Amino acid sequence: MSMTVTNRTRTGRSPKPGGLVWILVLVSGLLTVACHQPQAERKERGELVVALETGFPSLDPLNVSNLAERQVALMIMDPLFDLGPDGELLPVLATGYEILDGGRRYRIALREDVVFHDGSSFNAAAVQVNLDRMRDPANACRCLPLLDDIDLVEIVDEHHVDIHLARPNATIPAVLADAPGLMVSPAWLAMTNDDGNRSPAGAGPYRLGDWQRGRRIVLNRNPDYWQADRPHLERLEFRPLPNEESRHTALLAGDVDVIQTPHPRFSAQYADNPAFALMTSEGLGSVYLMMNKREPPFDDPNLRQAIAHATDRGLFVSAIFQDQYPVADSLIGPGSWAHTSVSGFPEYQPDRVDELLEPGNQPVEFELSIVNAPYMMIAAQALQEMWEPFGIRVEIRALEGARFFSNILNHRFEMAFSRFAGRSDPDLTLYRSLHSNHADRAPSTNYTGYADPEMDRLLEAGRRELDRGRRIEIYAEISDRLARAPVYVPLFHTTFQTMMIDGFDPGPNVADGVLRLDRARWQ
Amino acid sequence: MSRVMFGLSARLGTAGAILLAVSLITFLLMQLAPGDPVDVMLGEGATAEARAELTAQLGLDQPLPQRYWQWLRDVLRGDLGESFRSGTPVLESIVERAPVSVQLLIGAQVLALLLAVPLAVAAAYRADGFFDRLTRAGSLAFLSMPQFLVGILLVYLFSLKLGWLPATGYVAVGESLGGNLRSLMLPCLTLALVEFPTYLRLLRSEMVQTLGQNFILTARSVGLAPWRILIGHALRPSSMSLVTALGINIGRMIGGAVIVEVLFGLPGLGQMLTEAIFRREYLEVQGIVLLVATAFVVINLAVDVLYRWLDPRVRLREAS
Repeated sequence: MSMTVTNRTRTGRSPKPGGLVWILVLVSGLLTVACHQPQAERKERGELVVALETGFPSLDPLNVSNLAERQVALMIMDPLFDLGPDGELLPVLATGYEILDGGRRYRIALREDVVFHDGSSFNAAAVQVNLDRMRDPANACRCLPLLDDIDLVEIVDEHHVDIHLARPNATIPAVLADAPGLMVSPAWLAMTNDDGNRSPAGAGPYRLGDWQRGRRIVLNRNPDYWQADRPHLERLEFRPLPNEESRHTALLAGDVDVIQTPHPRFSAQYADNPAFALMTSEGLGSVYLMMNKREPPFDDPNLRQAIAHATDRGLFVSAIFQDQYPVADSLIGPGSWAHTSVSGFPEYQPDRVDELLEPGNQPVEFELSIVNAPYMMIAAQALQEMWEPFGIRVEIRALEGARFFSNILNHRFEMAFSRFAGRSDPDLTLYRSLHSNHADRAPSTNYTGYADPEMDRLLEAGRRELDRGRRIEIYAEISDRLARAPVYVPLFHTTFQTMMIDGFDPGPNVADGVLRLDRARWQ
Repeated sequence: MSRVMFGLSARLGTAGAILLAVSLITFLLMQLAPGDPVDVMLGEGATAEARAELTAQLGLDQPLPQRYWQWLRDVLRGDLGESFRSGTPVLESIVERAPVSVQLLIGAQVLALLLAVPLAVAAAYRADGFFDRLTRAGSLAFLSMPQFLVGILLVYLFSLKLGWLPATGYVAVGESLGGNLRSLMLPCLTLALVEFPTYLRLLRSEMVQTLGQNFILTARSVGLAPWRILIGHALRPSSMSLVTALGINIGRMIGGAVIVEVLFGLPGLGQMLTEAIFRREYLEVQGIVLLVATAFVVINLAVDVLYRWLDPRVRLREAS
């Protein structure tokens, strides 16, 4: 029997060990009393806090690729060209270009009144140094394939450069609006220590103030910016918050003013709330299912067609993504100049599925590879249930991101759920995904092993053709051809959403989802 | 060599072997995991030549034993390598992030003890009474909840409903002490609320046993006040299991800290580890795991030493 002091000390003075708990509560109470809502103060001071969906290990243009990296980089480094709200390119550090030698040479005219953050001048030599650095295979830029056709970057005079090409290529201005076009000071590039990576000297509207990895990056207004009336905000702070729910609570709690890529359920829930505003960018690409036509079972065109007819894309987008994204018929998003309405994409037709699958055949079974994320799993399960009545059995294979990516690059999948984020020129995505030159390689971004001589012809024509009207026709033909014999089943267009507190004007709505915060202001 | 020194040397030797094994296992797991850092770095459109060049540049074309030996040799020289992507030294990144995680873990342990010790003493004081039953039921509830759920509930209450504390973010001590405490309050409390029930139940159980010992009866018979008996005489001999749990729990808490750091957007080692795994930054993952394993081993060595201070019987046993 255990003996306790309890019964023998009733008349004594009771100890109060629980008092410490009350002290703790009091201390925490005192800590919290001093709290305040800093949002109003930020507005007063012209400051803005933005939550990004990923971190940014490096701000070297060589490494700029995802949305978060591009968002921060574009505030520090002005590009030669930039994507405008209508999907067209606008000159930024360039003033324009001239196409010479039947499309084998681009002459880029440069702005004359620009200095980098380190005080050095922006000129033709700076452009040459930057582009040569991006083209150097030793620097392992992700952008290297975009620069394949460039033979030489030549200085014409202080404010003109010529880009010589091996063959005509209509995508060069779009390439110069991507990572290769982000200009940094050659003096900074000449620095050999790692410090350079942490304090890039661009010619953008903001200068790097403070960078604590994983926590925040602070940018201060560049008082010497070449556009005298910009930027409007004094200070930007970017915080990486990879967890979607954390971004939501950070916005609701007033820790941040703007969040990137909220979950569509959150957007739908708060879309009508007057305290918040939602900006939806139309996007340049699509989210799709892709089928590996190199291997069974998807080497059978009837099965691919049947999958397209068995997929009720409208219902899928409505049920899983709360109708926040537009249903897609093609891989090219509505934010692109090359987007056209596609005729002939197989609509949801249960009768046609039964015909194509021929009763009496073996039941259809395959693996659907997805990135292991909660919303992907929900989407995959919805498709699994949608196809089950047709006797199509799907095993969902949820993979960690790097493994998924490695598998699809090496054609190790049957069906996969993936996306094209899209670029300002459709060629930059479609050529490598559909051209037969890349079909039998591994790794290759022609994931599905797509090989069609007519498609090759169209892709080449799209890349070489310099007339915009003709290019639109070519890409419309490409989309129609893909729709008639589906290897990709587009589900919805990639759509970038940005949620912010009411009273903030985020500037122009651009299809790539990057906020042009040099034009943003508190209202 | 005295028995004490011999015992200490043996423990240090074991610790070294454990760290070596941890480094080898981590290295192999990362190397054998599917997914290639070259794919991650070069992206979708890289040519075979560019891939081969980068693979050689990163030393990924070398045989595994050679790569492990090279890494281990560099580690012993204090060089944990560099990030593939940014070129930043891994040690520099760890040093930058570690203070946040250390603060989080210490804060959580302190809060857990501040909650557990008074409640355990009070519960043991009237064992099986109303308060004892209440604390046991309450602690069981927290023990059954995963960290992320506790975190979400705390954020909902203190950030969204009451608006007292920030839901995310971190403020360094150097910038504002109050801001620092405010930014860490919810993350620390999240970890503490999940961990304190273990401490509470262990301490309460040992306290109940200790209070039945003869020396407590003696103390009582000489008229010592109950608080003096509880705190001065019963608490210390009842703390052995608690101290063991503190050492062992640090591993569990580090695991929990990874989730808490991601949930609250804290720029600590947990968040760095998560990012490094997704980006296939082998050297960063290996460096962090090695550091965490070292901390775990050192803390448990310290716990062993603490035993001797807490319990004279251990010292007597070693002396005899």
